[in-house]
Amino acid sequence: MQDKANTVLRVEGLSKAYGNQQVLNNLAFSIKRAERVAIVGPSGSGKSTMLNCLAGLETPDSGRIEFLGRDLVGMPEAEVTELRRGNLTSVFQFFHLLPTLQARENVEFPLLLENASRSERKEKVGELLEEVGLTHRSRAWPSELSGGEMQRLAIARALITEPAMILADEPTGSLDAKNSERILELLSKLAERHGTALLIVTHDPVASADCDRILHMLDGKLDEGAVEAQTS
Amino acid sequence: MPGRHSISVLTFWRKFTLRHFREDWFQTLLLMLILGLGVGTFLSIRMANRAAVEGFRLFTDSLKGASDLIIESQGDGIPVSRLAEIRDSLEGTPANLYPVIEVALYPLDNDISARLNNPSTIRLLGLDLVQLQSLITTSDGDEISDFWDMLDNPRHLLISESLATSLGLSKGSQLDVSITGKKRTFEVTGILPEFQDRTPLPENLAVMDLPALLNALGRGSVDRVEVLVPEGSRKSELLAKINDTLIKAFDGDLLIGSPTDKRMEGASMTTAFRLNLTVLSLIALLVGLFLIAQTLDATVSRRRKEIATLRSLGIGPREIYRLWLSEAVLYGLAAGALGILVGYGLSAFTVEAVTTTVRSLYKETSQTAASINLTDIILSFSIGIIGSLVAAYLPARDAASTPPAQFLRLGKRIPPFPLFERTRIAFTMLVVGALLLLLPPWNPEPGTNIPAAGYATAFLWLTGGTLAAAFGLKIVGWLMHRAGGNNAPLLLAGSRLAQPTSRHQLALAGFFVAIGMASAMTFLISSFEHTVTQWLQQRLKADLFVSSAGFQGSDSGPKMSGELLDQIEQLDEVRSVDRFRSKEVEYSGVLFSLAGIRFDLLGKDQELLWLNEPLPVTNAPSSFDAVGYANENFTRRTGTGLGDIIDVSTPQGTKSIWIGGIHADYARDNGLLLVDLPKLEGWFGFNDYETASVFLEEGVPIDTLQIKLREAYPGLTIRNNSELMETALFIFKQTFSVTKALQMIGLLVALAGLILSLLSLLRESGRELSLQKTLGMNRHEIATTTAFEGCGVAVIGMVSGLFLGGMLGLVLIYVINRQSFGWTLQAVYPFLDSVLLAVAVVLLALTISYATGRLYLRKWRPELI
Repeated sequence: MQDKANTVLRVEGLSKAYGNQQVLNNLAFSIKRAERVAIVGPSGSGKSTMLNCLAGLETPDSGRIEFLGRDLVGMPEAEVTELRRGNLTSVFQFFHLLPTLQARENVEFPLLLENASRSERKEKVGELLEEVGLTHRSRAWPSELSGGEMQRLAIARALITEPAMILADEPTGSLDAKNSERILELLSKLAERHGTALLIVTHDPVASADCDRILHMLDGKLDEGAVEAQTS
Repeated sequence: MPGRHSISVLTFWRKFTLRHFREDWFQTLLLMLILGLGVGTFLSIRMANRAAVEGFRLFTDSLKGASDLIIESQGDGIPVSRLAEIRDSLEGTPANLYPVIEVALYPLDNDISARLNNPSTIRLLGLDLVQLQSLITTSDGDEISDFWDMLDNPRHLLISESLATSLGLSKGSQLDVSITGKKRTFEVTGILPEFQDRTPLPENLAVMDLPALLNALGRGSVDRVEVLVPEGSRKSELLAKINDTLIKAFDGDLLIGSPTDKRMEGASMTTAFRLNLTVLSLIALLVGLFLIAQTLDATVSRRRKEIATLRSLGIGPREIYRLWLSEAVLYGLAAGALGILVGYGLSAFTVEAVTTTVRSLYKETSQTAASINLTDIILSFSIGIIGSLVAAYLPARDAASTPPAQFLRLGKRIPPFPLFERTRIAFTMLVVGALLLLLPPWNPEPGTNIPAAGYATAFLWLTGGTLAAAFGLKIVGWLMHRAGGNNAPLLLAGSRLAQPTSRHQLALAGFFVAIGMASAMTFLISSFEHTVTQWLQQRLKADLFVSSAGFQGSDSGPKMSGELLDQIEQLDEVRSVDRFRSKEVEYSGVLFSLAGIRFDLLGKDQELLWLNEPLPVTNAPSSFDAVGYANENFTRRTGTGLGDIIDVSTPQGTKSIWIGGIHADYARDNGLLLVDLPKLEGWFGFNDYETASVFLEEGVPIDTLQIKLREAYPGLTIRNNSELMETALFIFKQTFSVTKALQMIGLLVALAGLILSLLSLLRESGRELSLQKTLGMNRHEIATTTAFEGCGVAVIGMVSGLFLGGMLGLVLIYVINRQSFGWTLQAVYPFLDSVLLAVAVVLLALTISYATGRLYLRKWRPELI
C-alpha cells in the first residue's frame, strides 16, 4: 500500500508501432517518488518514442501510463494537460528554451501557466537561478548563453513547479564532457533536494552512473535481466 | 568540396515546388485565390473603364453600323428645313445621311420603372424608318409586321429584345412614359431583331419613325445628322472630300466631327475618374504582392534544410536564387489565370457600377457588356508574373544565402528582413514623398490634369511607411511583453512580436497598405460627403424642385419643356421659377458645361456658394456679352481666373463672357460656367430645361402644392427640399459604390493575408508548439498566444495604417482630387468610422487568429523534440 502511494509513474504493457515496425513492445516499469532511473540503449532502440509517449507528444497503441495514480492513455487531452502541468516536466538534449524570452522569463514561464502570484514567481525564480548559478545571466537571451548555461536554465525551468517527475532526454547529448558532468551532478542534486523523481534516457553510460536504477532498452523492449540496482 | 551542379527549372518545379504545393494544398489554394482576386480586381476595373468608354458610342450605331461623320448644331438642333441644304451641299457625292432625334423616356408605371433600374431611362431614337427598312428587315429575313402601320404614327414604337425581356413587354403592350416632362402612352409595335454583324442593341433602346417623333414632340429640328459613306476602295478619299465640303459649307454654323471624336470626348472627360479607380483597384493587388513575398518567405524558411542540401550537392547561390524566382513565376502564372476568371466574374458588377457613376456624373452612355481581349489576358499574366518576381526578390535572396547543410544551425529563429530594419531608407522615402507634393500636375492634353506627383507621393509613403511600420511591431511587442507579466500567452506573443520575423513584417505590411489605402479613401469620401451636403444646403433654397421623370444628373438625360414650367410659374401660389439648362461647349480645346440660371434671382431666392465673391460690374472691361460665374474646376481646367474674358462659339456667333465670380459646384467635374439664362436661351435657342427650382409665395403649404403639381404633371418628378437632398445624397453614395467595394476587397485580402501569415508561423513553430505542450500549455492557451500575436500585428497595422490613411487622405483631398477634379473639399476626418473600422478589424483579427490557432492545433501532430 505504502509502495503504491510512493509510486509516481507506473507503465504497463506499453506498445507502439510505426507501420510494421514495432518500436515499443509491451514495456512495463515503475518509478517511485524521488527515485532516479536511467533508461539506456543504443540509437533506434525506442528510448525517445517512449519518452514522447510519457510526455504526451505521442499516443501509444496500447498499455497504461499511470501518472500519480491516474491513467493518461485515453484521458481527454485537457485533463492530461491539467494533470501533467507542473507535475511532469522535461529537459531536452537541445535545451529548447523559448528563444524570445529572457533567461529568467524562461524559468518563470511554467509558473505563469499555474497563475502563481508575482511575488511567489519572483522568489522561486531567484532561488532557482541561484541554485543553477545563473543569477548574473537572468536577463540574457537564450542566444547569448553557452550550451551548458542553456541546459542549466532548462533544468531550473523543469524544477520551478516542483514537479513529481522530470523526464530528461539525453540531457548531456549536446555538451562537452566537463559540462556534462556538471549538469548531471546538478540534475541529480536538485532532483534529490526537491524530492523529484528523475527519468533519464541516454545512450551515455556516464550519464546513468549516478542513478538509483538503470533499465536497458533494446529493439523496443526493456531487458529485465539487465536491470541494475545501483543502490538498494 | 562538392562540384558545381545545376538543376533545370522544370525538374525543380516537378520534384520540389509542385510536391510542396500538393502537401500544403489549402495554403497554396488560399494564396492563389487571393492573388487571383488582386489581379482580377484590377482587370475588372480595366474592363469596366473600357466598357464605360465603349458606351459613349452612338445609340444608332447598333442599328445601322458606325457612322463616319456626325453633323450637329451649335444650338438647339438642326431644323428639318436645313436637311435638304445639307444633302445638296454634297453635290451628288455618294453618302447616306441619317437624321436622328435622341430623347429619354421614363416609364411611369412603378413596376416597369423598378425593372428598368439601371439605366433608369429608355433612349428613344427617332430615325427615318423608311430609309432604314432594308437594314432592319433584311436581317434573318425577319420582317417587322405592321411596319407600314407604324410609320408616321406618333404612338407606335419598336423596342430592343433585351428591353422587352427586362420590362416584360411584348408586341401590343402599352407603355406610359414621361417625355420632356409630359405623360404619353406608346404602343409597342414590334421587337427589333439583333444584327449578327453589329454590336448588340443597347438594353434600353426604343425606336420611332422620325416624322412621328417630331410630331409627338412638336419639334421642327433633329439632334444630329449621321453620315455613312459606302464601303469601297475610295471610302477614305470620299470621306475626306465630304468632310471638307461640309466644313466649307457650314463652318461656324454646324459642327462636323467623327464618332471617334465623340468617344474621345467622353473618354477624356472621364480620364481622371477612371484613373482613380484603377489606382484604387491596385490595393488588392499590392496587398496580394506582400502575400506572395510572405508565402515565398515562409516556403524558404520551411524548406531551408532542402535548400541547404541542394547547396551541399553543389548547386550555387545564383542557381538557388534563379530557382526561387522561377517558383514565383509559377505563382504569377496561377495568379494571372485566376485573375482572368475572377476579373471576368467581377466585371459584371464593376461595369454596372462604373456606368451608373458615369451616367450620374458625366454623360449618358449605353451599358456595354464587359469583354475580355488578348491584351487583358497578356496584362493579367504580366502583372501576375512581374508582381510575383518583385515580391520574390527578398525571399529569393534569403534562399540564396542559405549555407550548405553541414553549416546550417538547427533551431535558428527566422530572421527579419534587413531592409525592414533600415530606418534611413524609410525616412528618405517619406521626406522625398512630401517634397514631391510641391510639383504641379502633369498636363498631357488640354483640360486633363494627372496628379502624377501626388500618386508618386502616395507610392513612396506606402513603401516608406511599410518599412517604418515594422518598427511599430517591436514597440507593440514590448508593450505586450511588459503587460504580459501575469499572463503566459500575452507574454509569449509579446516577446515574439518584440523580435519580429520576416513573416510578421510582411503580414504587417499587407495590413498597413490595406488599412492605409482604405482609410484614406474613407477620409476622402467623408470630406466629400460633408462638403457636398453643405453645398447642397446652400444651393437648395427652393421649396420645390422639378425635373423630368428619370432625370439623374447627366446633362444628356431627359429634359422638360419650357411650356410646362411657364404653366407652373403662372400659378398663384408660385413666386418664381428658376430653370437650369446646360450646353457642352469648348474653350481652348477644353469641353465644359455652359449653363444658364436666372441671375435676377441671385441674392434673393437663389444662392451660390462663393469661393470668390462676385466682382463689382464696375470692374468689368468695356466690351463683353455676358457676366459668367465659373466653378472651380472650370478655372483649373481652362487655366482662367477671376476677371478673365473667354470667347465661346454659339449659333449666334462668338460670345465673350467675363468671369465675374467663382463658386463651388460639385455636380460635375468637367467645368461649369453659369451665365444669365435669358442670354443662354438667346444664344442657343432652346426651350427645354434639365431642372427647375420653384419658390412659393409666403404661407403656401409646400406639401399641398407638391401633391397638386404631381397630379397635374405626372411626367415630372417634383421633390421637396428634403427629398431632393436625399436623392442627391443617394446619387452621391451610388457614385462611390465601386470605391467602397474596392476598399472591402482590399481589407478582405489583408485579413486573408493575416490567416496565411499565422498559418505559416504556426507551421514553422512545430517544435516550439511541442515545447509549449510539454511545458503544460493547453490548446486554448496556445491558440490564445496565436490570437494575441495576430491581434498585435493587426493593432500596429491599424494604428500605422490609420495614420498613413490620414496623411494619404490629405494628399487625396488637397492634391490628387484638386488636381484631377478641381474640387476644393473641406477635410473632415471620419473619427467614428475609423474607430468602428479599427474595433471591427481588431476584433476580426483576434477572432480569426484564435480560430486559425485552434483549427491548426486540431490537425497538428506534435513534433518530436
